Amino acid sequence: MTNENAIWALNFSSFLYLASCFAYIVAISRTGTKIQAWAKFAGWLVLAGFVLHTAGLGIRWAVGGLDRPPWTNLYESLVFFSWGVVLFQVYTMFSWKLPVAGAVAMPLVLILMGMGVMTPNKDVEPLIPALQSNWLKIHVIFGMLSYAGFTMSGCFAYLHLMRNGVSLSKIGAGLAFMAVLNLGLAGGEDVWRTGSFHMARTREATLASGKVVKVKDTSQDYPGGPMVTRMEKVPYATIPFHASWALFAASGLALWFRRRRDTRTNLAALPLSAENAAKRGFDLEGPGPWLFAGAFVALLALLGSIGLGVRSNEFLTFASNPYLVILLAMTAFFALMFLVVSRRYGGFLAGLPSADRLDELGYKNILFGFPFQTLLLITGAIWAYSAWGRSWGWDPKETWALITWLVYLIYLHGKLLLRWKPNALSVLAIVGFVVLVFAFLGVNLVLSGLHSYGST
Amino acid sequence: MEAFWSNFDRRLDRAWKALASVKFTILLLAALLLLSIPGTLILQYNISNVDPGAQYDFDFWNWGRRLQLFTSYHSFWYVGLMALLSMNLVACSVERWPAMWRFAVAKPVAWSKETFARQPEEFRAEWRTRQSADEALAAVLGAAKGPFREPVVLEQGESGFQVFWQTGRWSRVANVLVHTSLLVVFLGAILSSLYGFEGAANIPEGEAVDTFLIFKEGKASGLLPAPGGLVNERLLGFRVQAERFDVKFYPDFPGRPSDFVSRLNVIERGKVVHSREIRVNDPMDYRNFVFYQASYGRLGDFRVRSRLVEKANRSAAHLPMVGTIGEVLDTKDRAPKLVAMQAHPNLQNLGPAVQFAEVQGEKVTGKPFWVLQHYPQFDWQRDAPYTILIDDVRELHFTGLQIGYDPGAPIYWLGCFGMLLGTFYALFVQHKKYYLRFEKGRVDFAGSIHRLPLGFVAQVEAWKTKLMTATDGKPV
Repeated sequence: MTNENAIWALNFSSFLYLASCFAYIVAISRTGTKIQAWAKFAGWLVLAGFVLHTAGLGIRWAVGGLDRPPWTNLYESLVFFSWGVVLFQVYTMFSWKLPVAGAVAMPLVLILMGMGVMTPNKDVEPLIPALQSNWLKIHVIFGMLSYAGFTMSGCFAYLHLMRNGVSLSKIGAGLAFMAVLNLGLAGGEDVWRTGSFHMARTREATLASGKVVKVKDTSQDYPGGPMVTRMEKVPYATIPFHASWALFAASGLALWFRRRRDTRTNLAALPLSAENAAKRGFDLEGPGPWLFAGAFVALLALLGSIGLGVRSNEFLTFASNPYLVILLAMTAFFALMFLVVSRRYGGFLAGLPSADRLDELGYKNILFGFPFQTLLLITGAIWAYSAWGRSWGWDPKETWALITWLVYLIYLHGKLLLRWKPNALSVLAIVGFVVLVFAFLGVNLVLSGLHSYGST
Repeated sequence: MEAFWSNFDRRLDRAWKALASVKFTILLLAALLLLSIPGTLILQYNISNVDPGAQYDFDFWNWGRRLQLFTSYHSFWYVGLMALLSMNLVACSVERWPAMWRFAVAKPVAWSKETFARQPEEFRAEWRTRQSADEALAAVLGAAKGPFREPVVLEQGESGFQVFWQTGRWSRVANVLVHTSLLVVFLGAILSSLYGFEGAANIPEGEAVDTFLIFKEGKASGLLPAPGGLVNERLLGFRVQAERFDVKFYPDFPGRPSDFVSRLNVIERGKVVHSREIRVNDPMDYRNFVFYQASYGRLGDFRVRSRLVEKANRSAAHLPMVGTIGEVLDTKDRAPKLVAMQAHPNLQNLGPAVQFAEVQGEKVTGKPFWVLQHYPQFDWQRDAPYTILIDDVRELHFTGLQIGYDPGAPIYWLGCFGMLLGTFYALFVQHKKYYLRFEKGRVDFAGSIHRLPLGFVAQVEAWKTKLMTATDGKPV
């Protein structure tokens, strides 16, 4: 068994997760018992992917030796943390009999795995001295457990909001604004300064193992100065980029101003059953859905033109821009899900358990994740104390882990003492998930600090 | 005057209520969350960056300095917020804990028939049994007893009885442990910031220092300034010698370090009293100080071990020559003497190489020449009566040590431990209560839980089955 086998297994499991995502889309576009049947099929795909995923991690551990667990660089943390989320998803499926929760969780897993697939450096590199500690194993496992719990709680919170009668227009508007934000992040500072869509240029670099890969072309203006990424204009992409975010913004506004008139979506007032679920497949009124669909088409055009641009420009590859491509793919995926769900809302909701159950499962995942997040912070402090001579040094990674902890601390106090409404708590759980993603990935990729081994 | 005091009382009461409110806690937590962010985006003062503001333009530097943005987490606003949070925590505790405690230790009260009927459908059950009250009581007590459960008989008469048992009731007060521990953590942190310090020293290989540069220093750290030293230089009170420093690399991964090791000797009154190798993740303790391997750097110097061989007499003993760059090598009474002019760890991919020259007194005579460690034949061809064999070319480094003292550590680790214990207990364990009432062959059973009710339904169902079997019950 070599690292090549491991990479093959992990890539193939990503492919199975992709297939499961499409099966989930089919599932939520069906009605009645067919939802469960397709969701179950998707669940089996997830399980097959999970087996390969586990095997891939196991092989990498065997290749690297016992003292080098497979979670020491960016590629491995992406793979390991998505493994955690899939583990929780499999548990949800078998223990709570809720395969449909994967309709939200699996696209997120696919995003992480996709980023992993695109990461240029997949070598099993031996440990640098800072990581040669048993705390590496303990600390990261606690992180995986808490982050997977919080991720699942975000998924349940999202389903709970839908099931609890939050107007579809509101959810659509929320997704549209999120899409604008994602596109803004994907375009970066550059697109707003120059008006054109750019990607990071690449250059060839030799890995420690001697392998040559394409990496981001960065340089420093002066020694010790900030890293500047050289950008390259992507031909054909500028027009669909601007069309896409503008249409998303317009549809977001149109949906938002319709939210009160959208009375039929108040499903809390209507009885739900498999028989009359089909009747409730309905159309949203007003221009909102059409604008949303237009934005989705423009987004597909953008992804296509990036592909064409990469083929026609020797300095561009997806590999140097995994974050960008993933942001766009994630946006496209959730937009597609919204379009499907908006056609078959009643059927989709009929396939979900009660709002109270979804709320409780989201809460349960936070009750699980929070103590482990506390453990993550404390074991991190102990490790830092023995390696760097201080237990808490306000490094960006530490601080953002604390910020994530604080979000869930507010959730728990709001829930336990102030009895906040379930919808408000669900929104907070989703906010917590967004903060978590930044604490997990954003800090390593955007900010500089002592945890820099997580960025290459 | 009277009116003032009564008013004053009311105001004080209102202020206290506000301070002890959970809404205030949430407000403080949200503020803490938001105010933690700027410090991660704006460069912060740290050991390698003594004036982060200098990287920004003048206006930002100026305002940032006044608002203490470059020392965010020690600024008046952040520390003030922490202080408010602690006060809020204490006030909340004083206000709530007694009631919580009373609730946790309260004696259970028997339920009436109506109370059972009021329970939600899924948390109660009823059945009939032919057993007598005594038989049923024994059966129920036997079934309900468990390692963490002690059933209590609440009522007992001739025709009936009521039994109560519960698990996880301390989960209701585990938050007391969490919050007390959090205050203990704060206490430890305050002690550390008053009595502790953080600093660093760079020691060239082979040399010793008796001072270090301070980076963070508590008001009562008791460190003495170094006479004639820098403003932030402090005395160690002993000497620390870096006997040697080594960077090891993975052979298959050139350029990837595998180990940083420093051999440290502590010298007091001219004698080595303590000696230890330190690595990253493996520091040395001496007195109050802890020495951590933090960084290293090149000194631009090499130590060369080589041998001189007379060409005419190759079998005779070789003459060893050891020294650093620029040092005239001791060749006993052989003339001319030699000096190592420069060295290279890998000269044009031919491996380690040293450039030697002959010296007469203090003057270099003759042309300098390169000697390759891996290709000795190259020097053999040089027109001279002798040749040089190189055994080892070692680059010299300084080792960067982080030096710290953290007297609050045992206290805040204790606090952390308490916090963990409390958090796990408070959130993983649910308080479950069960009531069973028997009256003339009719059994009412109900369970209640203080959170996650839906997941509890199956457990009530399981209890029902168990108890029905024990009492030989039939559905009503």
